[in-house]
Amino acid sequence: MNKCVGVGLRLPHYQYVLDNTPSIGWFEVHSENFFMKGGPSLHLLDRICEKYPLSLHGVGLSLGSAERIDQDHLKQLKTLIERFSPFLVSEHLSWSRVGGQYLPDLLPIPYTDEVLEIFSNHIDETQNFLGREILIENPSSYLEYNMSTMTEPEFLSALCQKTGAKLLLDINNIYVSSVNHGWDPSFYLKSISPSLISEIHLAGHSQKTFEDGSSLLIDTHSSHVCEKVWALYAEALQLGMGAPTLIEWDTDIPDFEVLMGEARLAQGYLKEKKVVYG
Amino acid sequence: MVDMLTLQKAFLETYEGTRSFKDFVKINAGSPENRFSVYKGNIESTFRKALEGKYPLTWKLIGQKCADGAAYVFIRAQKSYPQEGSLLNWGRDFPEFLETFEATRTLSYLSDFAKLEYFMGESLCAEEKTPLIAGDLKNIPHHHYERLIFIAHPSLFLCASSYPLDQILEVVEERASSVALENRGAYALIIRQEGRVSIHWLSETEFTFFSYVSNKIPLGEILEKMKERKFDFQEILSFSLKNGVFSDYMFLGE
Repeated sequence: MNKCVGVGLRLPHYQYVLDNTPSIGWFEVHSENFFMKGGPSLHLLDRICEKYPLSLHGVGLSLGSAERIDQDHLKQLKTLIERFSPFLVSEHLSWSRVGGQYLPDLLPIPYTDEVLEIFSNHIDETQNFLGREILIENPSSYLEYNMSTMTEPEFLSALCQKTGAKLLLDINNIYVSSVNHGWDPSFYLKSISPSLISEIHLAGHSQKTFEDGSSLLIDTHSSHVCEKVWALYAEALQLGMGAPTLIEWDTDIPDFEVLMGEARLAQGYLKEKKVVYG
Repeated sequence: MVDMLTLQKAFLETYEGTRSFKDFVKINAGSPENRFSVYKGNIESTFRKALEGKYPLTWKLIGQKCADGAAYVFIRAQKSYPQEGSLLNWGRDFPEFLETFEATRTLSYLSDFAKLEYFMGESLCAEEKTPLIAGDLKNIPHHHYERLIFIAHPSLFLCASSYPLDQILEVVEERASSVALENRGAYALIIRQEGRVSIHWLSETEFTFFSYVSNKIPLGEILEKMKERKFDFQEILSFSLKNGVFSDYMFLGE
């Protein structure tokens, strides 16, 4: 398989991957799952890294917090980077920490000048400390703030311009947020310069219906990539947003072959659009 | 305009149920309460999954439904959020909470069993150090033994209970279909060897010895404290070296 499609590597698949060496371009893991001091998980990842390129994807740095970034978290991330030499390091356009207390979710930020300043400073600090560029992923969101003065793509573009960071464009997140807020996903894509995209995520979602009959799409990573997200992916490729593409599946995780099937589909889109990466 | 810190504090207070987040949310299709509830649900669900990941044997012992219920009550009652952006070190208080949880209060051994499981998890992820072998000790002059302090391996954890945790573990791990619980306690030495966690069930005397070692008490003082007990130091030293219990040594006053 072409090296551009990867899969999010989760615990149930470690042994399968080591035993079978599937033909996949690369793997991505959540950085914080490897913040332990020692033990077999780190050794398993060492062995994966001997065979595949690795990307580290963070969920807990909380770049959008008003308070200072957790310095211990940064140090642990740097230790991990030094050990595994990932080809990509990414985080989220979100916050999760207030008053030194951590809420384990990717919480939404308002798109204002003040938050742009906070976020930019935190990205600068992170990139300086790590000595490398990081990617920022657009979130799935379930609410918008009435104080926002920018759209999400405007905010992301400004952030990249100020910091030199690149984007991890999650196509499923664009779709989920667009349905939840009435955005036009095609307009979202067209609002972002293809030159900023260094990675793409694809995943499945689910729908939650409330007692009042209203519903929201939820970014559960619990199913196949849906047709509309594939179509949006094709549209992104058509716009020249070619980048290493990852299949994510985090809940009700199926056999690895199912993920390989999704990866082959993504590969097909890349081939059709004649997108090639080294 | 509201600043970011005020907004984030308001989010936390809304999560805890002491205020409303409505004033911050853009009104469009769907109520602000429903929209906020997705985040609250995600946070609680992630906490629950973290506990299940840390205590899988406890989950198996009391069943998914009961354990999930305990987890959600714990999450909603506890005010000690993780202090770091990772859940690897969070959930240590769960065993103590189980002592007070109404649905499991009659399972008096449950809290100790969960503590044992917590230590197993800690041992698995502990710092890596090369254990001492017999050859490392051969050059220590005999007259220095009194001042010798063994440094316990970072993956060493000790767990004492007034219940037979070894018997309960046998059943949960399906090494026995059922057991008649004996009226006795259990003393566990938990250590990681070659990437796997081993549990060694000790006598009370052996457990006391390793408790002293963990507290960095010099060997001379340990032997003095234990002189009234039936105790074979050579045997316990041999066990320790075979199972990688020590990672280093030093001398009193160093």
